[in-house]
Amino acid sequence: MIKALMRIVRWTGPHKKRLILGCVCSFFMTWATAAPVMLAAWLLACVAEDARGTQELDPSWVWWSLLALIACIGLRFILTYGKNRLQESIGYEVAPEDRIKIGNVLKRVPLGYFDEVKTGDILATATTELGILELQGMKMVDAVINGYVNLAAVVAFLFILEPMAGFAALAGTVVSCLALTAVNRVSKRLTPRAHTETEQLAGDIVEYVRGLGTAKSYGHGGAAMRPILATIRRLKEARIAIEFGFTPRNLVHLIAFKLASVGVVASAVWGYANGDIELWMLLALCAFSFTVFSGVERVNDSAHMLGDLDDIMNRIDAIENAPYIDSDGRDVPLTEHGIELRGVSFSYGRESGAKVLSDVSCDIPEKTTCAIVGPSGSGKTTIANLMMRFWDVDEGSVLVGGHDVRELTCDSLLRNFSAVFQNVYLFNDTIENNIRFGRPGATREEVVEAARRARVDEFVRELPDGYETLVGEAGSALSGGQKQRISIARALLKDAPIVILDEATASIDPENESLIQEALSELTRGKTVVVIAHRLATIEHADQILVVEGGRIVQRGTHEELLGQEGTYRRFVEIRSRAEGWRIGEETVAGVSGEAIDAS
Amino acid sequence: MAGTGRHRGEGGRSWLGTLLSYSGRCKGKMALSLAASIASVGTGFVPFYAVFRIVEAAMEGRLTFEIAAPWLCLAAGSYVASKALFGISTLLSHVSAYTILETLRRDFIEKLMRASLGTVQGKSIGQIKNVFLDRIEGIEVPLAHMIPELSGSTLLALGLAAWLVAIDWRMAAACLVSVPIGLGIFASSLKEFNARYAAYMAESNHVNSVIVEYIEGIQVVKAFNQASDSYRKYADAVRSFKDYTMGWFRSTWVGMNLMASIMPTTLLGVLPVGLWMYFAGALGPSQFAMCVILALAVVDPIMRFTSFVNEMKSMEYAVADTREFLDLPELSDPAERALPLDASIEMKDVRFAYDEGDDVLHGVSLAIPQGSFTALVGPSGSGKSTIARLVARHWDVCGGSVSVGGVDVREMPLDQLSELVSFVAQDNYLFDATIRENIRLGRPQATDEEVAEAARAACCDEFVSKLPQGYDTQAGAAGGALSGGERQRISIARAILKDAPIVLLDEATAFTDPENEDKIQRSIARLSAGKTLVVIAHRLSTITAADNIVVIDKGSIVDQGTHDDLLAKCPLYGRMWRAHIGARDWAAGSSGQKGGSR
Repeated sequence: MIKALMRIVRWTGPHKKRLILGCVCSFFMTWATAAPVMLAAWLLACVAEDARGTQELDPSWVWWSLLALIACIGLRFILTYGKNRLQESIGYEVAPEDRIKIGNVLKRVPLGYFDEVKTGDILATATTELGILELQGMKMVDAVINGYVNLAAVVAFLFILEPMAGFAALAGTVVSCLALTAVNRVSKRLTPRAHTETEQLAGDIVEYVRGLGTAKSYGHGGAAMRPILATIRRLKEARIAIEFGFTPRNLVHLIAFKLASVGVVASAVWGYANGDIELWMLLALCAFSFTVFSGVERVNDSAHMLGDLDDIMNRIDAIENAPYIDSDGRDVPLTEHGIELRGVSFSYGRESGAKVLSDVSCDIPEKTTCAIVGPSGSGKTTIANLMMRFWDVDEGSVLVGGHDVRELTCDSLLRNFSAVFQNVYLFNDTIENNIRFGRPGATREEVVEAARRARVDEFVRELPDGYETLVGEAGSALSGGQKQRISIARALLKDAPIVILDEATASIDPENESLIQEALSELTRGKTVVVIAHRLATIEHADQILVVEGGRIVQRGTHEELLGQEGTYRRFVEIRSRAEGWRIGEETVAGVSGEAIDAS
Repeated sequence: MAGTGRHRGEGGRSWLGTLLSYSGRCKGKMALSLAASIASVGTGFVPFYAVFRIVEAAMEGRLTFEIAAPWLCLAAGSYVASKALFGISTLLSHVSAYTILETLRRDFIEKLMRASLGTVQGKSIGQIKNVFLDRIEGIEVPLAHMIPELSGSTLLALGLAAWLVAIDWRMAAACLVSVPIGLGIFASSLKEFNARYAAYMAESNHVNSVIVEYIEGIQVVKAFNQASDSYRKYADAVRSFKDYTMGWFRSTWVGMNLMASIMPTTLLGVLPVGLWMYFAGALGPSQFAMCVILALAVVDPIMRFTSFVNEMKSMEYAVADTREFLDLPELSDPAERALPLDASIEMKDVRFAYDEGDDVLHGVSLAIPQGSFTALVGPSGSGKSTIARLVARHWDVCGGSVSVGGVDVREMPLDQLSELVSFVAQDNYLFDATIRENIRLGRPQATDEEVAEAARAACCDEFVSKLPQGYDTQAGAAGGALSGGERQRISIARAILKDAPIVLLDEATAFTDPENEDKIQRSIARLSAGKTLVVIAHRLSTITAADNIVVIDKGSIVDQGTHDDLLAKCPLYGRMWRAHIGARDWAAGSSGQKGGSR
């Protein structure tokens, strides 16, 4: 618990001073809070004397007491205000800095990072979990640090008034601390299970919703529900088990303080009976006994929360300490834009070890088109990704414009690339801004010009809001093909000398398809082009074709050269041409020739 | 705030009522929890009385330790009892709260199953997950604390106030004078609370969506070398959220702290008024002492009460978000099996709109005879997918009717309809079970041999046999080893095994690699042999052999006929056909252009 607290204090960084000042305010606030009680005790004692006729009390005390109380409230207000002003907002000031830091880290880590760490986890950390830290961090500091600072003040005060009362309070505190340690232990033992079940439930709900259509269409609703309902029940049980573990220990903690407060009263009575303390002090101690521990009584909630916060800070640290891919890169302007791979081997993730590429070499001279073909999973996309240094090679090297990509910063390398991915990603922003993303400084005219060349202009004109139309979740009215064209316009605007094209063919209706092809011709004109090709027409016209299979280049050459050889490529072309000319309802033709291929 | 009003108004039930309506299985526990809480509060009064007796004796100058001892023991005993009861109450209340959460989640899950598929799929998975997991979870703490703490505190405060009134009503009024002052200030700072809270939630959602976008789009961000720019948008959103929260804080600081200083100072009235009454002879010294003690005791429950305002608000919002799902309308599901005549489909004057939007289908009528092959073609957004999905009853029509074998689909049990219709969609969902079980889903009672037969027909055999565990390999989310084409073939095998007389096929739009595609096409041919086949076509060359091609544009049927008929009479079809043929002959940097650039 103390470790977690110290981490929160460190987390506040430059605001630490404010945190400490806040604690000082809080300390004095306790006295401002205690003052009215002492005043009341003293006045009660005076009243008692007065009633017994030993010493008369001046009636003007009615007004003096009111004034004194108002003064106490004023003082208390100033101190609380000061404390909150100094402390409470720190979380809201530090968390955004962390979010920004995370954003900064993410743009510089290799893309492989996102395979090792789930995007969902990063998201959860940057949003929900940091949110909890932001909200709870300072509250915990307030509750625990201020709680104990005040408790220390009170115990010290009790020692001065009546040592035995001080001992009683101290004993209560010690027992409570032991109970809290036990709570912590239980928490460490039981919460992981609840955590696991929560994660399981998160996975289950996604799986359930994705599979809903399938489950319904096969009439298996009940079966599909079963696993998630079981997880729901297990999560409940895990949570309840935690409560059963916590409650008795919490009670020990609460009862310890309650008994301590009885102890304080008992010591006061003892002291008074022996003539050690005066009547007003006895009254004050009796009155205090009800409120003296109320601040620390609630620390038990914090004990639990601090464990969570500690966990959250671990995750934040893990993200912030992710290695940058380009930490030793330089900013080199490229004058030439050929690409060369020399003996490249690569595998995703070191443990799995399965090589995705082994000893791949190729040379793509400037302003030529290179098509990469091969079965899915053969490593085509990986080759393109290595050129953009989304990952680093394990062996060999990738050269762009004669420089090893590892010599460059990501910025200076990627300046030379335009990429159109198979999965179009558009930002939840206007069409204009999505295009301008290619070159932020571009004028409206330049954006429209790119849009025109990418065949975007023609459909944008028909939209009521034109280029101001929002895309993304809200504006999902755009078809896949239209989105694809916007992504091409973006790449056109960037006008980089190297174009990487993961042949974009998803979600296309025929009319869109030819427009996309036109847009792509615009994009690739006069550029060094690397295209992951699925279509014959693309391949036929490439300057060189690399046939990739099982992570190796098995054939290379032009279309004519390769057609002349026995091998993967010829088979590929045969199937391809049949696939493109395929018809539903002509099973015999497809079936028979298909069987022939299998046999070969 | 309008939103809150709406949430409250809907169904005439408040958020609390909604929550309590889920307490069926734990009503007894909740009642016990409440009883324990009341008992805890009751015993909680005893120490006050005990200390009062000690104080009284002291003020009367007759206090000895022997007089005090029994009262001290009583106080200690009742403290222990009170806390133990509190613990029982808390425990029961947590158990109830988690039971309510479980019930809420169960209903949520069942509702998703019973609501129309189209509606559910129209929501983002992220949103569903957020509500199902985080929002519902967030209800627990305040809910569990509501009985023992909120009700306990309220009772305690009321009990103490009653005690004060019993001593002297003027003292009671004096004690509580700080409460209205504090509350007044609190209320004035709370005036904009609803609007502020809504704005805060909106800001928070905005910043989250920007973060989501940034992280999900990181590949694009990096590839476009715009890391710094897009990053700026991200950073701006983060900062503006911070500014908003800080602004809100600043505006409430004075009020909140003033309240926090005044409200707990219950002595403000008690001390001067008590003194005044003492001097006036209306209040004895020991009564005065009791009033002071009670005034101190009432502070804690009052402060707990105010700290609940925020939590109640967050519960209210969480319940409102959850009800958005729990209140989804369900599809009617007749119990009696219908008697369809054959496997034909008929649509009569079908109109359809999503939610409250404009019609996406305007009076579509279409007859699809048993055993025929019908293709739906049209530009994207024309409504062709919607037509097919209405047959599978992913939604109910808004007007007109859809019949299968002469029976309106709404008059047929959902299970029966799903037996008649196989919908092979583009997103092929595999469950996290073995490949064999995934295929068997098509017909649970199928033998292993039949499963293998279907798998062979769908060309799965060859790639499955290469997997280390063959048909026992786990598919689904974990089975990332399968390519898109392979997953699709498994889902086709499933449909082959199911052998439904009507097959709705959303033709895959993406080109997978050619070998895969060839096999997919062959397996589709086997799936559809002898069936009533409806294809949502994206590539016209695949459907030229259809018995009937239906051309759809902007939610209406423009024309229908065979390929040759349509080429002759339908200009839209002709245009689409030429575009399709043109696309096939395209090349990246096609020869003429490339020559020029060299």
